[in-house]
Amino acid sequence: MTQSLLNSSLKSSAMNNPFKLSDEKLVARFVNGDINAYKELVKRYKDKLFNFVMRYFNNREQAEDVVQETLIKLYTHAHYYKDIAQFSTWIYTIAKNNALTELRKNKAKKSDSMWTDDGKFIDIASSEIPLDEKVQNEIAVEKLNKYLLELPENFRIAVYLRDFEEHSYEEISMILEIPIGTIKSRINRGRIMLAEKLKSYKE
Amino acid sequence: MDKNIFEDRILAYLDGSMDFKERKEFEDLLNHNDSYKSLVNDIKNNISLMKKAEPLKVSKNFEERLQLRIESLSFSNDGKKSFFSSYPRQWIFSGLSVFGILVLTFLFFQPNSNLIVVDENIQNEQKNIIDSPSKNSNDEQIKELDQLDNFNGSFVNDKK
Repeated sequence: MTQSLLNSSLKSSAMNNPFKLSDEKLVARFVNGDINAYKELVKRYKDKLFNFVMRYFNNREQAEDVVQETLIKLYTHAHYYKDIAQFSTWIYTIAKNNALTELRKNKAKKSDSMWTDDGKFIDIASSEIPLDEKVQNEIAVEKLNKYLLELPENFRIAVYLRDFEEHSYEEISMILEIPIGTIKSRINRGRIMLAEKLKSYKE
Repeated sequence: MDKNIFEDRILAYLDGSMDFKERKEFEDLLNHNDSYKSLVNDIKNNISLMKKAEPLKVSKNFEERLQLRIESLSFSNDGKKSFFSSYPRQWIFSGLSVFGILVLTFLFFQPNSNLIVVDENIQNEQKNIIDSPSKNSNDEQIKELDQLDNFNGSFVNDKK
């Protein structure tokens, strides 16, 4: 009896614990006035969205601004969310639209964070200090990131969503509002371009 | 195999969505062409590297700044939103439209409305204008009507 009471109280506490709830349930709670649900959604998505938006800008400040705009939109427009699509797809679509709007505004501005003042590519891997495998992996990823940024936007975002974020083709298609066939083609082309860029860099 | 066709099939190969026969053909091709094999291996390596990538993190004061921006909005700070914000905009507009139609209906169609009184006055004035031309012609009309009544009366009596 005591055991079952304990179990039920554990179950109810799990139900009340926002960490255990799905994104969709959290949105529903937030729409009903639960601000903690909103805070939990912010915790879950701030870094994910930041990584995503960074693929548009490669500028921390701008990317954070866009993520903030996205999360403010979630705050003010959560009631527009319909359970038809996954919450993640919905919020990524908002982030994408915000990023594109911001890009249009700053079209003239050029991100230069991966270039030296005299226009040379910053090559961390050329360091002569011996590195362990983890660090080497990190450098490889960083290099990959940098070459990814050199790809045209259409290919870059599709590859990022698939290979970094591991979204399904359907989700990517919904986020970018492009047919699945086109998404697959862009991912494939983007991967090939990236591999060729890295290869030519190594040579 | 043409290079473009080969490249188009890489995605299906890596996704594992090829059937056994297609897969066998593709792997045979890779085994006979080093540049193709190297490209597919590079892509595979890149994908696995990207999956290992440590995600970037937002700055430490990100949530504080977000909260400040939210507080600066016109919404209340406890998470409950103002009346208008809690309903979709189209509901508000539809409600206002229905209200407007009701008000207009009330103004134009109520029995004692001033508009109807004015309308009645205009009708009375028109009637007076029609009736007024001459008293003589009125008398003549009355006589004609009397004669007609008499004629009808005699017609009825004849039938009886």
